[in-house]
Amino acid sequence: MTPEITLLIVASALVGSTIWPYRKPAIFVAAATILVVLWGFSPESLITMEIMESLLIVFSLLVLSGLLRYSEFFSFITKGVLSRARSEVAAFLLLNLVAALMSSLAATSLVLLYMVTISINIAREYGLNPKPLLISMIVSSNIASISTMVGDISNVIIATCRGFSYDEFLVRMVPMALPMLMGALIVQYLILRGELRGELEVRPHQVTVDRSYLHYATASLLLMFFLSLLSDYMGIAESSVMGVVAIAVLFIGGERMKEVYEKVRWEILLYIGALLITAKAFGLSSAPSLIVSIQQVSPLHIFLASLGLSAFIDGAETAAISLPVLGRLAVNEEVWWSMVVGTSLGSAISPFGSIANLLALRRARRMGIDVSYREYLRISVPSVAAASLIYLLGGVL
Amino acid sequence: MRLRLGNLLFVLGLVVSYYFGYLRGAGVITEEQLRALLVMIATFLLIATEYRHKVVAALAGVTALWLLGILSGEDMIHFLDMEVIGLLFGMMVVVSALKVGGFFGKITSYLSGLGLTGMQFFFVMTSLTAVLSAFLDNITVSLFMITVGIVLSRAMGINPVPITVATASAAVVGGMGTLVGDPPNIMIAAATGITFNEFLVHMGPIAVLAYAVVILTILLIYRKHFISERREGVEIEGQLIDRWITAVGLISFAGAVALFVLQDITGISPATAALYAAVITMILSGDRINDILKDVEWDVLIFLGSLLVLAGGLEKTGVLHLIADALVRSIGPNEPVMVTVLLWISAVLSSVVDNIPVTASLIPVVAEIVEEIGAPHLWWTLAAGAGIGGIATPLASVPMLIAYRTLEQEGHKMSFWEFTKIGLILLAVTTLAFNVYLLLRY
Repeated sequence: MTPEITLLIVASALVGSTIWPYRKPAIFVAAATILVVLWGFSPESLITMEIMESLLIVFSLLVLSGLLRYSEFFSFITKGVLSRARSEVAAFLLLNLVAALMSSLAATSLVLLYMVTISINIAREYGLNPKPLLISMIVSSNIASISTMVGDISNVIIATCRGFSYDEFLVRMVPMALPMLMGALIVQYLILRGELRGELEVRPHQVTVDRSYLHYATASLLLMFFLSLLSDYMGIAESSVMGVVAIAVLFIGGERMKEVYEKVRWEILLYIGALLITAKAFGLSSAPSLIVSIQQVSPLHIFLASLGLSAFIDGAETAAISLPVLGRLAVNEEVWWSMVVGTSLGSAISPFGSIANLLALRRARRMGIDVSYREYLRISVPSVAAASLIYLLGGVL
Repeated sequence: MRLRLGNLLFVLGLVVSYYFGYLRGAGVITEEQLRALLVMIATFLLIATEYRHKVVAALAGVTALWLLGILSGEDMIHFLDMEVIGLLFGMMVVVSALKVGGFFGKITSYLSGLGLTGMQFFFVMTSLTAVLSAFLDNITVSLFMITVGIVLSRAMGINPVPITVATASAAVVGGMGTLVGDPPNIMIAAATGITFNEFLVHMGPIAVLAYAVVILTILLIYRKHFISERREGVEIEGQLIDRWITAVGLISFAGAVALFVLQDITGISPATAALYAAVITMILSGDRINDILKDVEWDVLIFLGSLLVLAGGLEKTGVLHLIADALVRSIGPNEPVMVTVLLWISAVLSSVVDNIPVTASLIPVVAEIVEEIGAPHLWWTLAAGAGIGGIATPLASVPMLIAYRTLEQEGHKMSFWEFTKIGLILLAVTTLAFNVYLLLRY
């Protein structure tokens, strides 16, 4: 087994998952199995604590996002916020901010789909044009996802592998994410201002929900957030804290949790697990040394490289496969942070940048809203360019 | 009902705590062993009483082991047997593809055309399952046969419960007959150097006896169902929904089985073979992949993983070894009593936790005793006990777990206790038969 063949297998998996995004689990299970068999790795050498920690966080987020969805939390918050909007511009901004906040708290990949569905319905109800709103929400969510450790699967992968804590992430990234998000929203407003001129009819906030279920979901979200924030202080890994909270939420919630539990898309765990095992096998082989020919790597290089790669390959895949390569270069911490930003911003550029984008656009298409690449890029590219510029001005340079 | 159950659990908890607290005070059991045991008992009760969804209860048990410091993250990875999980996942994908493709409908149509009576169908299914399980892994066999059994029995107007329980039981007992049929057999052979033929000569008759006893007992328990509900000779129309997916599923299935059989030559483990099959199925299934993955029983995989970790807690703390050692050694060098006690201990322990950690804990104990008193048939006793324990509860073996879960999914839900009640009857009768056989033969 030569490193060249390993590289070819990993590259094929990445290309394949971009061409056939809905077959990602199969592609990475195939890649992992082939690498494990060809290199003869034992399961013990591949299934490391970092991988288990990442999977535990994804498991917790799946439970949380499922709970928020079935308790109508997203719908309640979105309609509640929208009831305060008096103009289309205000509605546009508020919906973007809600999507951004939700994505940063419970992973874009898991939240965006629900948020987009609700927002399209609401937009139609209020007579807004859903298409620009949909695109801007996808872009804003991806940009905001850099602010927390759980904002994006790529953040989870990088944080668990590099040992970044939840509060460290928050303290470091929120001050960056806020101006970047604001910059992107301003650019989006400038692009869409011609379409956002109407007044909005004031409607009372009326959503029929099971209040106790909603409160339970809200309490679970807050509990997971605050305990994750305190995990470093408590000396317990974030994954453990989140895992315990998720299991406690399922346990205490009783019968109502059946819906959450049985309808969660567990195959996401398979995809992430297979991806991480592929990356681990890739790292254990000598293939990364083929890529590592450059001696000096600056945060700017990594930011630009991850931005470019993530525009075409899923951000999580970019992060997972880059980890063993950068690990061999013994780069400093700044490089990893620039990768966090690069992968998340890159994910916003094109529909291929993240499985969340693709799922959201597919759902929109099923709801009768067909977004062309041109329409998407018209909003995403200037927005990401503005966010990148703000990041570069404020950080790397 | 909830209140009564709560009271029962509370009283039981007090009794257990007092008893084990006493044992700890007497220095018999350590603090850590006591905790691990109590967590296991509590989890078992939560699952048994269906107080919470079984997967949530099992995950809570794992969390408790971690919170109590009994198992670390690394320990959990260690005890998460990827061979078992990988094999189950791989075969689930293939069986799911066959379901999506409509293969089971077609095969049901074919079998119904043979004009088998309910009873003939019952014997054909169970004997075929037992024979296949002797040579193939019983996860694959039970996944496939249980699905066929349910579809066909429902179409024939027969209650699917007896055939499902019997098929899963046949998968468990069939595996006992050969060295490769059941993981405990492989472990015993590895520890002792017993050959395939020796295993077949000694364990073959035990497996046949077990099959006969289990089937007769099930027929006796469900005799009314066969008499009152059967509609014989019913022909069912079945069309393939998707020929391509069916073809892919069948080729993958055949490939996996071929790799299982050729394991000695290829060196490819069953889990890897199953994963190959799953990968081929997933890659070639096109847009149907989402339907296939949706049909995979993720909760069974998570449940099984949690059970393996829970059993790992007992293994790590040495509770299993402690119980087995204390009980077996308290008997003295009386061979018939030794056979009886070892058989029942291994059967009972294997009915609560997976038989792999039970066998691992008992092998050193049995090895010492065999060396001391020279009774090699204790190895067959251990193999028989560890093997048959898997029949007692849905937690005890993967075939029974699959049967329990599939019945629930197909709308024939049995409560944990209903299922376990049948399992315990089967366990008691079969172990008794083994006991008599072992005492007469050796």
